[in-house]
Amino acid sequence: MDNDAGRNQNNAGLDLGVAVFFLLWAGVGWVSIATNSSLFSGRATGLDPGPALLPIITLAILTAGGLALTVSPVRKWMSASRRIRWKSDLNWRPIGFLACVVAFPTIMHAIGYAAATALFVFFWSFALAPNAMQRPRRTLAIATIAAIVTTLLIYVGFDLVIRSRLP
Amino acid sequence: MFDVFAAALIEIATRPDLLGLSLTGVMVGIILGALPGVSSTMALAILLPLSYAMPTDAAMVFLIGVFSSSVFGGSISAILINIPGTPGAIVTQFDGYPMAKSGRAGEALSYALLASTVGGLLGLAILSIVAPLIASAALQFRSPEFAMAAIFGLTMLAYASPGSTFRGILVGCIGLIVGMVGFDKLTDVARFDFGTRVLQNGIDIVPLTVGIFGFAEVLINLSSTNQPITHVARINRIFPPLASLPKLIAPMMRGSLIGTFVGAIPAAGSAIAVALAYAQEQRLSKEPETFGKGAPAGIVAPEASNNACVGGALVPMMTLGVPGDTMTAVLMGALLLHGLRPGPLLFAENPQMVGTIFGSLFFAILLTLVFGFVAIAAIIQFLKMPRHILMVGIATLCIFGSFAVRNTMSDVYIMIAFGAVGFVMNKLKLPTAPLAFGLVLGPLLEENLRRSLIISRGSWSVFIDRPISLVLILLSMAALLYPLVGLYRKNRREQTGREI
Repeated sequence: MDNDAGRNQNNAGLDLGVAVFFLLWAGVGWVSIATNSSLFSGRATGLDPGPALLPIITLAILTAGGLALTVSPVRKWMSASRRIRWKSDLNWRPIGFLACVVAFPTIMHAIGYAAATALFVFFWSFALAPNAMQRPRRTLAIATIAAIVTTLLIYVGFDLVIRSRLP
Repeated sequence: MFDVFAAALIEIATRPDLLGLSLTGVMVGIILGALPGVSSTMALAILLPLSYAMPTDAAMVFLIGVFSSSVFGGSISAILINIPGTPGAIVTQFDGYPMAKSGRAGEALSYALLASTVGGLLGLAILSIVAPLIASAALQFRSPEFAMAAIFGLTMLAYASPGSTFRGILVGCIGLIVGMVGFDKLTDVARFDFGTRVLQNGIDIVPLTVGIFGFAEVLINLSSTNQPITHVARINRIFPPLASLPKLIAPMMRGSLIGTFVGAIPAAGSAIAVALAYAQEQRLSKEPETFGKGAPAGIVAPEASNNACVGGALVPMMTLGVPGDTMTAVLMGALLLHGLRPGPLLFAENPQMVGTIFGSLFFAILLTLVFGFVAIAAIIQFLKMPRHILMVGIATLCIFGSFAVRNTMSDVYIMIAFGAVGFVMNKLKLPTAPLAFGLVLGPLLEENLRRSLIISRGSWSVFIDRPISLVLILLSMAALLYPLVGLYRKNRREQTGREI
């Protein structure tokens, strides 16, 4: 019975998360439409329903859908112990990795793509390696090889072959 | 159409650059498809930017090589390490892995390879016969039909996506909004741009697909704490006993037909096709008890079906401009990137490109067979590559790939943002495929919706006055309402159970 209640609370948390996700998109969309005066400035001439038609229909569906999705978690919350349990299975590895990738373009501009790529691949190949501390030399060697090979592949693929203007 | 197909075959066969690209695509596709954690869609998405600098025909030859061969690649890991490389290989592991464990891994791979070739060729044959017929019928389509075809495609994908159809539709709506970012083509009014130049240029298909199918998958892989230790089964003898082949022809043919027809249903996908093919074969087998223990028919039927899906999935994309699955959505993105819009007009205005697509698929299937047999021992070495290094490498490829298309860092940030969105969606158990579908189909929907309303002088009845448009509306509504009926029945059963 307790397990069922716990599962319900977890599901309610997830369902509420889903509803908030859709409502966030809808909210951002409505703000953009409300602050965009040219959308309704009559530049859509003649019989054309205008550039605001599909955005409004889509945002209306998204808003109605998001609101509808809040009903179930709220009902579960009302019928249970008025607590929503947030299942916390968040792992910090992808968040750290994501932060590093966000910084990557800036680093690339500062030191060039080759050095930035080599450093990025070396660091993460070492940091993510299972049992890196038990076998540091082996892990360092693998990370170095991975950094060199990846940088070479990027150089050949993007610089030489498709002639992309890498920083 | 056959003369165009034949001309494309000769063209590819006599041009070393195209043959080389096809072989490269096949090699890369098999290797990426074989790696656990790298789906066919991800392989195609991360390689899409590389094709940008190529001429259109070369890009198609390369990408179709990746597309077709990665499907077989997914079966290699399913057979050798019991982890399907792609969703279409889920069923192959049922019999492939037990056969590999019994010391017949080479035979299992050969069965899969032969069945993939048969399935792929049959799917291509049906595609080349059926597609021109559908395209010529679709020439009767006008704006209302195209608008409703786009809605039908989105609804079907939402219906077929894991989880609820309703949530899939809402994700599709997000895709539509993302597709509307930037200047409106008819009136030049900027939408959803928040006054920023980055967003005024619109969101390109490449950073979005690379983000949600590539980078997001990397983040998901990194968030999983259980990185499986890979023990690859020994290959031993490669060629199966010749005597075993004749009795496998029927299962291969049945699997191929199922795969082609299921693949042609927008958004149905290979996972459904292989499950149907396997169940059908087990039902028809005189020894159903051998299924799950290494039965060759349990490998060849789903494998043929899986590869026949490639041809099937190309039917709606090429004839109606509605992608058959996520992979064809990315492929459609590649065509759009090169200024070509798939649909009935492609057959009328650019038949050479249609021929090139058919020809590329033919060569991809043949080269997969050759490369598969020649290099299987070398390919499986890639399965031993540490997963974390692979993921770091893919992330790097995502960064440079999204940069390379327009040589702008804003595309890299857009890719990262959609990677994060895809990661959050995975945590919320939401399907990501409708997002890409929405982006691809959004412009088709909006252009034809507005044009229909202009022609009908603002009357929405134009969509129900035309029979094909009405049928598409009814089919879309059925896909939306069917899950509700199921839910209602389930609730009633539960209520009845409680009363008893």
